[in-house]
Amino acid sequence: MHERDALVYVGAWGALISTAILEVQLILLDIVRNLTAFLLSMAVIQSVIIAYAYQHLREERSSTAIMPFTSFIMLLVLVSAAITSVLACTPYLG
Amino acid sequence: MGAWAWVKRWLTTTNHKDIGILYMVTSIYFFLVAGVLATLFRTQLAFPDKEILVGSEFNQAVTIHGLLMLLWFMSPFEVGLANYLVPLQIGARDLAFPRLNALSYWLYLASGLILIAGFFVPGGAADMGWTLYAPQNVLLTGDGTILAAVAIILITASVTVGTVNFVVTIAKMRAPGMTWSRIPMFTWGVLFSVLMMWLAFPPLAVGAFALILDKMIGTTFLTSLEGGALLWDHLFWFFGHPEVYVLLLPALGAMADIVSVFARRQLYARRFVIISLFIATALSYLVWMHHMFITGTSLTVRKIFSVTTALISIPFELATLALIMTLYKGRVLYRAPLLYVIVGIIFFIIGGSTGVFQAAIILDRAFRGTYWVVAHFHYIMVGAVLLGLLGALYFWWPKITGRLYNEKLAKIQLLLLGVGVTTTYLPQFLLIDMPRRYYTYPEEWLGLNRISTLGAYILLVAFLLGLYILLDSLVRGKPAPPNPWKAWGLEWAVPSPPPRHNYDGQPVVREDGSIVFVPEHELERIGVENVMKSSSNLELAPKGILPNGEAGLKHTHHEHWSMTPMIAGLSTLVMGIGLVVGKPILLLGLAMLAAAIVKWAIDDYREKFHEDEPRFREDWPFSGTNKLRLGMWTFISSEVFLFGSLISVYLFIRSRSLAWPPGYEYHDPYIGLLNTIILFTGTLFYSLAYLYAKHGEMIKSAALMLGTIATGGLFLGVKAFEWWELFAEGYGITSNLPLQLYFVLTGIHALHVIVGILATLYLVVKILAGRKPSLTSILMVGIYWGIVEIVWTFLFPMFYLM
Repeated sequence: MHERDALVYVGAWGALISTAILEVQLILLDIVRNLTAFLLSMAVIQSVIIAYAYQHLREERSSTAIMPFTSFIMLLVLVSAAITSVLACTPYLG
Repeated sequence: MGAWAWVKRWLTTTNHKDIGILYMVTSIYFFLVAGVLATLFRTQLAFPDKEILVGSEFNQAVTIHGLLMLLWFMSPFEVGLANYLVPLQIGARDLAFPRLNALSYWLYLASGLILIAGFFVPGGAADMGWTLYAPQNVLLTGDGTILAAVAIILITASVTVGTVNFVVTIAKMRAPGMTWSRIPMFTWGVLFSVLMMWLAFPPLAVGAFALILDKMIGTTFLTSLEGGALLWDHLFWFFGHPEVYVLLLPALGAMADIVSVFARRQLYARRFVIISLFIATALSYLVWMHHMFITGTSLTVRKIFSVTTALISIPFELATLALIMTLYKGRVLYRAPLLYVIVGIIFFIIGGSTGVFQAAIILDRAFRGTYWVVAHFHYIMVGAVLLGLLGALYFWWPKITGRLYNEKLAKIQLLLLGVGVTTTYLPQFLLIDMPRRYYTYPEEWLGLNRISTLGAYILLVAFLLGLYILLDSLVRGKPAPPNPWKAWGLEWAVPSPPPRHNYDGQPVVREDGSIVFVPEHELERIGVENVMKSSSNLELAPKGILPNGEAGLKHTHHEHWSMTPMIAGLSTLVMGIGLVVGKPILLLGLAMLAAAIVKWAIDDYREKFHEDEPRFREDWPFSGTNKLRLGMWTFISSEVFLFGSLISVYLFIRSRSLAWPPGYEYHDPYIGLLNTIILFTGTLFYSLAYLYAKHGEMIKSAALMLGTIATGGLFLGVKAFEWWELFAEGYGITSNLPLQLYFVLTGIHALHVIVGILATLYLVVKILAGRKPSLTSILMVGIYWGIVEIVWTFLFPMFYLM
């Protein structure tokens, strides 16, 4: 078995588990200020690790990698526009 | 061909030309249904004091007319043309995934029939307008709305599969020498169109799914204050506005090809037109909120979308100018296809310029819901898109059928269409004060409405004449030569109609633009580069390079007949109907679907439909990726958007809620963490399994895959336990919005886990049976597991920690 590849997989697994445990502990200890931003950022970081290591995006040419990347960017546009429309127009959110 | 062989061909075909014809014929059927509905409600509008079609029946006719015309006629007609032409135009033998292409068609047919079935169920068809606005779509409608939502989900599935197919085909299967700069404009239009469908449809499917849940099990996504109308607006219009360009771009591409051929010169500023259309594709995703100017969004948001909406008109202005300049500088042959395009351009300018007004916030508020918008929209859809497509149909008709049509009658039809469009829609600009979707109105609008209805009848006559022209051509038309227009595309270099395998030998586009067909073994001997460098006058290898049809070779493309796509498609029809008719029908549909999936897997197991990738091809910049990988990434990106839309529903509802219980009120974070670790571990096992497979250690690989299956099962077990606990505490799926979102999102995720388990199990069975699966297929399942895991990285904090 190729040691280096195995190392990437196991390393990614370690990073994912550590970040998952870390976020649970930080939340339960009530340390985090902006909860939503923190948790979504952690989820994005974990997603990048998964895409890089387990989905082998690292081995793809940039022309192929642009597909999920475009999807992600467009998703950000949809989410941010939708949320902005809420925050900007809902009176009880000030 | 005997009757049975004929039936078998059309039910089991996976050939791109057959599928293209199926798409076009079916879309014409839906067009006729939608046309009859339009004639009926226009008749009512000519006699507002009579009761020909009133109340909900009027609204049903208007709604289904709009949905059918946009989603089940125009777009599929273009997909049909694209199916037939794109492989021929780029030098491919078929689309990249022929069976998936057939599945795409059968899902489309099933979805259209389900939509129409709405007329026959209690409460009638959907009746709140083609935009299906919330909360009326939940509160004030019958079972037909459920069927409309199911139809939308199915056509999304069809479109997604189709998108993957076209992207991979155009990216990976072009003939040598068919560089991006040489791709015909129609194929460019199709590529941009599918790239818009790719991400525009998933939010619509999510909205339709929420609609089904609200109607059938009582959730409140679209009826609550937190979700409601604004949520639906976002999901619908993120799809709805790009959809206009989805329809427009293939038609515009075809118009450009036609203009170019009949003006006897290359499209003016071709490169700039392609860049413009690319920019329009990107901008199409950034304009949807101009449909929501009156929803109370902030002025800043409205200003941004006002600017993007105004901006998107510029690429189309450039394209229109290029068409006009091509004609201006050319030696023009005024044949019917070109005349259709010229009239289409005129209507496009009228429709386009009246649309720019909608970009202004204040004017948009004034015009909204009036006949001004109806007129603008129909000038684009009927005047430009439909006339462009009819021009395209007449242009490629001799190629598709091998028959010429009656040119004089086609010109008479155009005259009728021109008069019909103007008479129907021009008065509607003047009905600027009249609200749409009312079956009766005050006396002052009677005259203009009657003129408009007269126009609708002229259009009806024009379309019936069009049908006659086509049937007449099929029965009595003169045989068409391979290239009746002296055009220069690859599709014109083959007989009319083309042989089932498209080409004898491998087409190669030489550097001087000429096309040759070379037997593969000769191509190997001579070298692709040498053939491309040779000029049309140079006899590089007299025995090797031959005009198409003279090589006398046995083609290597397989027919791939398969009943499975049809059974899978029809199973969705049965399931859809079963949703409103009753459980036995639903179960029958499920059984059919299960049978189709098993048959599909067995066929794959036996490698019955295996086809090697083309040996000689132009695939920059995707040369390092095989077609399966590119297809999987295209599909997965669409899945990302589907789940992303679901997650954005959560964030949207949550940000509109006054109070939201913290996740740990319902769910134990440590159980969630445990499940997260289980899922991550399963994916680690799978990745190691891939690594072992890469080094040929298949038994170890299978053992690790079994580990993935076990962890997947464990994950589902823990999830089931959590659900059971909530039910035991008296909570249900409809208890409150946080729990509704929890059950729906984790439920859909669990379904994806099940699919992952089944796919992995299939690989294990294959390995244990001694049939080594390809590394690419193992990687494909790995990429799928990755997306299951990525989604969970969002669901876990959303429901357990926030």
